[in-house]
Amino acid sequence: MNLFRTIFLAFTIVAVLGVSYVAYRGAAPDTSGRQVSLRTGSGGNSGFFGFGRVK
Amino acid sequence: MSLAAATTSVNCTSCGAGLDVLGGGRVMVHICPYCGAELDVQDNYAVIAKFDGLKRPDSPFRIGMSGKIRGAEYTVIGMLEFRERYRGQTWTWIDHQLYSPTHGYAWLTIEDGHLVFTRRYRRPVWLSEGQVERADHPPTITIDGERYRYYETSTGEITFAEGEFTWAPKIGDKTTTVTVLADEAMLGFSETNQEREVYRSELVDSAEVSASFGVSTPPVPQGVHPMTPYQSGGNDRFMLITSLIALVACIVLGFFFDNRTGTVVGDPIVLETRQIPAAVPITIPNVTGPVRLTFDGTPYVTPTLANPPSIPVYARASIDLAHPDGRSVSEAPRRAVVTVGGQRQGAAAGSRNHTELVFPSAMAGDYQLNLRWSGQGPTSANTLAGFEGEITSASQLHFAEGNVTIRTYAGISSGYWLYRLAIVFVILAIIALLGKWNFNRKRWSGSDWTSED
Repeated sequence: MNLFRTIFLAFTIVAVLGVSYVAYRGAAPDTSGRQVSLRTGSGGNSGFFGFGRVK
Repeated sequence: MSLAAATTSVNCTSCGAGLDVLGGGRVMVHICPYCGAELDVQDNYAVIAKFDGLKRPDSPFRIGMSGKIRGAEYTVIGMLEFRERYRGQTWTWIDHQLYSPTHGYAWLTIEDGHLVFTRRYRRPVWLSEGQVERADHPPTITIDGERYRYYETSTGEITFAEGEFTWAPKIGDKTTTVTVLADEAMLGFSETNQEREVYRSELVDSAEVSASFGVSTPPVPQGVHPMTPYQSGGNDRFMLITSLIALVACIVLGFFFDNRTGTVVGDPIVLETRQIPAAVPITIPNVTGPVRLTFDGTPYVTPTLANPPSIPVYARASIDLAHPDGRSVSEAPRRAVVTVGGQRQGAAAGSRNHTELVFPSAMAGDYQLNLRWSGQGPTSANTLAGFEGEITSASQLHFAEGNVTIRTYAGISSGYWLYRLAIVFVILAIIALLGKWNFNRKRWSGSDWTSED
């Protein structure tokens, strides 16, 4: 495997794993900082595509 | 390199110079490099034309040089220079006539430092200039498993000639060639006043061929030749596949984390509507990640008194967040409301019956929730005062018997940043595709096809 592929694969793995950890921690624009945010709708986490549900 | 061995020679019948005979039995003319006389090989080297004052073009390949191309031994037996003028621009290129005792005649052309190897193509295929001019789209030809698309039409004029040829070139002779291009080959349909020929051209390795012919200063290829093969080393394909796999992983993980909506912490708080307005103390636990506070208003309550309303009625409770001492929390939203009632019997709760407050982990602590009525409807069904006094009608009871349930969730994840990362991988996949697209754009940049829309 050449250098480009090695670096690109490493970047991909680190990016997916790192962002997955951030996602696991529940980070999102409305859960950062010190603002209490309001969500309306059918509930759940209301992610990027609005998926999620009330448990 | 070597000068072709075992050559015979003749004397120029015009100037007497010794001329090596290298070209095999199909040679028709021999143009003397010393005096420019064109000699008829079939007629005892009789002079049939004379080209005076020609300037020899600068080429590292000289007549008599031998070397290997595609595994066959060839000798340079002649050299032609062509010039094309079009719309004020001038192009020149040099064709070297080659001869191999085993493989016959061929051409080696220098184009922008690239070496192009050309042989006769003996297939029943033809594309004329007229066909191209009448076509609405670039003409294509599929033959021998290769798909060729129209590239250009050029008319070259001979400006220099010397050596042996299988035809009789004349200075000023013009040849019109229609060229079609496949991935790594070209077909040229050449037409002069006398004949039609089809040629197939391929790029050859400039350094390798030059070394084989003993050329000390090989031509240096400039830019992308139309026949240059795409050489990414597979990196673009690797980048594309990796990006697509990562893209799918991000979306799947995003779904997974988006559905990890947390678990209830502590007991739910049920607030009867009769108790509103009310101040409810709550504690936001200090946990990793955000905490979600949900408010669910009863969607529908079956009326039990006389004169029930004909349509579902509703009331909205505003939600204010305050510190335990009653001070308003400045970081809280101002327009949080939850609806009680309003849904038809048996129907699923609508979105207005559900509201959430999301606390970042930095906002853990004790708070007070103030709920008060902020509106109701429809107007004819009830009045706000009804909740504060005696209940007199079913329309009031309809949601006076409902409640608001408050739950606290922790252990929440979010797919938000994974979806953003997925967009990055979409862009990377597009970049991987653009690599080949951009290469092809350069390959075809010299095409003279224009769509007349």
